[in-house]
Amino acid sequence: MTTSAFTTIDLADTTPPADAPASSVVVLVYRGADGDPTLDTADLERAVVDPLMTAFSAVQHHWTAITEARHRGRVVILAPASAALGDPLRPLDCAVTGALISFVRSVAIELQRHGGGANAVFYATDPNEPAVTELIATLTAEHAAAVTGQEIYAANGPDLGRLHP
Amino acid sequence: MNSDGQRLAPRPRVAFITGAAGGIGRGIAEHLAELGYSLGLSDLSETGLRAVANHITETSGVTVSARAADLADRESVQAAVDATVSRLGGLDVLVNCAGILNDARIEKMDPAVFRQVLDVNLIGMLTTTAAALPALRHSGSGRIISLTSRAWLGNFGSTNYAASKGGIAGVSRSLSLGLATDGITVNCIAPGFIETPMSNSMPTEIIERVRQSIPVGRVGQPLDVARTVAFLADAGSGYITGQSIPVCGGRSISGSMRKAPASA
Repeated sequence: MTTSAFTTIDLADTTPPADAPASSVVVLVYRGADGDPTLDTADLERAVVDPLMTAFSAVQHHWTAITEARHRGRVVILAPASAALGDPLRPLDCAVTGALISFVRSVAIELQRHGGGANAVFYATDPNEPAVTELIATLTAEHAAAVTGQEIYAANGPDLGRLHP
Repeated sequence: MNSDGQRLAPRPRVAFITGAAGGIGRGIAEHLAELGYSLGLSDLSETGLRAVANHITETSGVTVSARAADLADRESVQAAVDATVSRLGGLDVLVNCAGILNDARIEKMDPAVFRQVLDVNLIGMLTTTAAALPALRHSGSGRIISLTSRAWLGNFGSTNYAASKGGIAGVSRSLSLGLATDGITVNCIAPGFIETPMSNSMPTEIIERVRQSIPVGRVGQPLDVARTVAFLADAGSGYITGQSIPVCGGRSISGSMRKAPASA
């Protein structure tokens, strides 16, 4: 299997990563479901389970490279800040984001014994905005493995004065 | 009022509980029965469900509607909720308690197992909540109480279970905001180690290590969780919503599996 240092995976892409080169730094991007699906009307498998399965499959696919990279191994999850904090109009996005938060916390715990780090970053509207990309660069820097299991809002402070999930 | 203009006695509050045949679910059902709730009970296990329903009926005298349901089957869940509403006259409290656990480290986790845990724990909660919402809106003081787990904070070898419980916490924040004006509160309870037939199947030395890591010095009982459910379920608890309450003897702030100090 070939390896590369850095891979970004959109969780809307359900293509199995079987042939993708393994990476020691994996960034998973969740952008939310299309439209405003509700509990009553949504295809829950597609809206909720599919992105979570993609996240798990990606981490599992890259796991050997992540753990063998020791303190350089990283998992970063990007998700909308509004979905992390609770958006009354997008319950399914909140379900997925809540699941991703607990998933990355558990990944951080499993990764701890290998020396790597896993964190979540929440963006305002665009996962590619400069504050987000600079934060990812910091979290994936060689000596940043001590920062792990954290949830960081790079979204102009929507969490200020609010309980975090 | 009835059709003759006579005032009718108010009905008891009605709670619908999934996973009611399990250790924690049964404890919740029995405690709410002691408090006078009418109960709709559901579980995948028809045999276990009947045993719980018969015991509660015999010991408390409350009205029980028991119907087996597969949380992966939307029609089955809807039928169980509808049976409760029809027989008991409405629905005030939904307790999402059903869940399964199937741990493995990331490299050993079968993707089918990861999906199965999501389907039962998270999709099952979403499906049940959707089925119950119309009746809860009609209540005027509806309550949605979902059992997450201390694993929501992250747990070794439990990425699937933790994700499913985190999903419940996440959607509960959204629902609490969206349903507030309907008088419905939405909260989560995150139990730590609770003594049940399932947890008692663990090796004794593991249970002892867990007990030593719990600041209050004992493992939890289903009644510890049930009392918290009862508090949140009460019609007077309408000012608490969108919260996740750990019921774990302090383990959520002490760290897992760390030995407690010999003395304070």
